[in-house]
Amino acid sequence: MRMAPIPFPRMNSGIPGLDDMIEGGFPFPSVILVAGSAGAGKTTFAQRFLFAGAEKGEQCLFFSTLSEPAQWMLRYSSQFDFVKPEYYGKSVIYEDLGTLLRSCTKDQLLDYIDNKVAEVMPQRIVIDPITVVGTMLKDDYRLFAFELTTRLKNWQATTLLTGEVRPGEMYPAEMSYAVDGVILLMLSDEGDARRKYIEVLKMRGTNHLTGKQSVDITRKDGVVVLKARF
Amino acid sequence: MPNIRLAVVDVNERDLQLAHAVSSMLESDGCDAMFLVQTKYTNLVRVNLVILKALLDDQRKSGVMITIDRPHQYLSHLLQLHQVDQKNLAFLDVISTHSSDSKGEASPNEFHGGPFHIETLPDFLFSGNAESRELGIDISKIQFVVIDNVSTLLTYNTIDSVMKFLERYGELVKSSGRHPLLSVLAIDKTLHQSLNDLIQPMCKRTIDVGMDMSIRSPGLPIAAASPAAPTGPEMSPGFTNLSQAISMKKEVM
Repeated sequence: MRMAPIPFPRMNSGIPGLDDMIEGGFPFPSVILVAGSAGAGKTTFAQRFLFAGAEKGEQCLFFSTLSEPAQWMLRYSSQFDFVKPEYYGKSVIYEDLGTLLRSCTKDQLLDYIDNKVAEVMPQRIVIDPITVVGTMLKDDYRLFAFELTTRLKNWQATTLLTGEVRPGEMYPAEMSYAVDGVILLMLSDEGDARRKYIEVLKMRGTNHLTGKQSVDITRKDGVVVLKARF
Repeated sequence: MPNIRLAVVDVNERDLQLAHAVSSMLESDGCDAMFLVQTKYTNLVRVNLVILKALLDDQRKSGVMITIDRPHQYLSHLLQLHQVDQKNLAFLDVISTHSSDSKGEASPNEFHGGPFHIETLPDFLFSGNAESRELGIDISKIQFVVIDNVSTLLTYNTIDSVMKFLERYGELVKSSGRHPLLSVLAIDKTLHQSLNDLIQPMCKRTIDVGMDMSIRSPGLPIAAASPAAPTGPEMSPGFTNLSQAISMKKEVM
């Protein structure tokens, strides 16, 4: 007897409107790349994902790399209504990789991440931004990306990696092949306005909505999908 | 170069309480039965750690962990970090041949049959042949088997094959003439209702664990489903004893 395909466990994204575009949420476990230029909302997206998990009793782990010290990122994030300080250090753990990244090898970085994940046992992980690691590891980055994504999934977590894109670049190509999903956050000049969009470019095992959808960033919810055609 | 060392952490109080509660239930039900632990899929890693803590540290049993969901190195790392003694635990890794995983040393614990045709695994486990002995699995000395996790088998096998695997396993446990063997399966029943419904009647007790690691419903041991059901000693937060937990279940129903 062959039954219908076994559905993936899915994890809600916390982003209003997004789960309806991806069959209810991100596959669990999986590694998702959230790519965009500066100001597109990547860190806000990632924070919302973590706090949505904390609300459900899940354990969450945020690794910051070398774009911004955790202290400053947290200060700005605290302005969002969904950020609940009572989860800090309990359900949502912050770990700054900046110091380590200045001098470590690929294997040392993987081991460090491994140990922290084993200690916290998170269901949700964020590494923000992963592209900085590429700059530090250079030639080892492709292998690092493969090993990192394999390990993160085997730890049984859904992980968001945020990625800075350079002008003219759609997404960080080195990482995109290794991940299970790619979400683009885009800024677009339209007349006098600069509008924000989201696009699900890739989501393995998921019949996802294609095309750009408008988003807004609000103090209450963070990133919100405005015009998803459900 | 930065000094990166393996951290050591204590199992937290909440998980420890669950470990003791599970240990008490397994103890009171006897050590020759199959148990089903239901929890959310996202909670299986933590629940499996707690079950092993109960069996290895609390009950000082020796056993086998069959890993299907992910290579065994991850669980071994977790046990090491959380200071759960692994010297009486052997891994039988069903998935490592397909994982391309570089974590830790190359595994000597592979089940060469892989995750496909899983119905052949019980005969391998009970055969006592050179290969199984090489893996440190001497079935005559093993007191428990934990499977992480049974529903993942549906990715690689039909539900018929999975049930054949469990039935064959049950037959061999009974016919091997060995001392009692305790078996623990974990599943997310909301995701895999059909498999859950087939397995549940085979099990002596079903334990439902919430995301907060409390026992939402400890179920009833089939042989003890009477007013004289044993009172569990320490239950997880929210319940003072097994009777209270059971009455709570009735109220919910």
